[in-house]
Amino acid sequence: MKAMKLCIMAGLMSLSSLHAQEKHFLLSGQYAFAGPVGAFKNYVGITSPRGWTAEGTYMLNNQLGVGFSVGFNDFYEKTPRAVYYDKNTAVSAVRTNTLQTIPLLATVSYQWWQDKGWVKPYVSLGIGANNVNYEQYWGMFVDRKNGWGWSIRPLVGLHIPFSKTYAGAGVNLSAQYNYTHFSYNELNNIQSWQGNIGLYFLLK
Amino acid sequence: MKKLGFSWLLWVGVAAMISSGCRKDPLANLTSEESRVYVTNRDTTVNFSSYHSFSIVDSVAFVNNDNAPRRTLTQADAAMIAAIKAQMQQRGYVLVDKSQRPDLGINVTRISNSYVGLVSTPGYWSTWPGYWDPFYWGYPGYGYYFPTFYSYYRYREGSWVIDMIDLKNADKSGNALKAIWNAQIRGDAVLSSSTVESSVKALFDQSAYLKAGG
Repeated sequence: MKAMKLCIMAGLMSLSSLHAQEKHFLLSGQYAFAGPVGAFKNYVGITSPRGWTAEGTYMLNNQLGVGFSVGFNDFYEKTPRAVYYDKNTAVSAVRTNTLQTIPLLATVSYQWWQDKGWVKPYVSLGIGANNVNYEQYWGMFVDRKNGWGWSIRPLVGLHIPFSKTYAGAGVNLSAQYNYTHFSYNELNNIQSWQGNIGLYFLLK
Repeated sequence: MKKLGFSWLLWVGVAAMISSGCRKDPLANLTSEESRVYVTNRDTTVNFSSYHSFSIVDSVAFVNNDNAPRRTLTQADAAMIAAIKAQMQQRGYVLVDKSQRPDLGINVTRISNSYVGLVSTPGYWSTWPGYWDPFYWGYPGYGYYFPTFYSYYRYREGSWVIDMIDLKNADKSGNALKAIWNAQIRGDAVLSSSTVESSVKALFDQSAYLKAGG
């Protein structure tokens, strides 16, 4: 729970550091939760409640924007003691599989934005690099690999202004799919879905 | 521009802080028992039922980074030897004195403060004088031969290493005693005598093929 609270704080803190420093910017910070997809489930099979994202988008006009996104996810699954056999070797261990990702993405987004209105849907595509930290613990002994892989994430979201008459700030809800090219041991590319909830500010 | 640069620095700082703070720490979520790892390696060409008797060393080879290897018999060493004897006898092997030409010889090594990576052969200590003593088993001048199937996991705490050697076929193996089974115990508090019995039981539980023939 402590780690989860930290993630929520992080999403909001990222906003305060960016707020009111550039105009024509859409800034957002979100708490994020993510679940494994495909073969990644074989490594970690449970949803991660520890994550956050922050984005800054320069609005070229009322609809089209380009920007930058950064985030963090921590996947973790502990398996009770079991014996693992490999040819001539048997290893009895409590195994803990962990993976952390820090995506750094360039983004392009299209928003159905109007000065007045209520819910404003948008879509976004992010492409860039993802720093992946693989740590598989056999008891207290770790097999570690850190590296970078190219990454892509399509996203759909909603901006929900705090007020019908003021669209400059509100709640941001979004869902995305993540793909990162990274292979090591049993990992063969990393796919996940992700839900985000946070706040946005439009700085005109 | 200066203001913008400061903003990005803050952003990066927040990212770095959260990257570590948001993580669930695997080691903090392990009990002492859960931290332990039991590894066994076997020679799959060997029929362990073809052996009937065994003998075990009367003291333990102690290896660490600071001192030359030496023989010791601490309370934990004695507990380890007793636990192995009990497990072997439960599997039907008969304990005999080494002078009675046992089929199997068992060496026990206690290692402290060593750092070993993932390798395919036993650790560097296997070539140290004292770790392996062919004189003890009545084969002066013999080397110590490990098949290449052994694998070691990295560790940085105390550990036990147990080697089972084939004395029955020593005369056929060309001046080298062949290790046919190897076991390692690693993790928190493994050098404590209180953990020895359960650790040895785990090794034998995952080695069902260790069973004397009728």
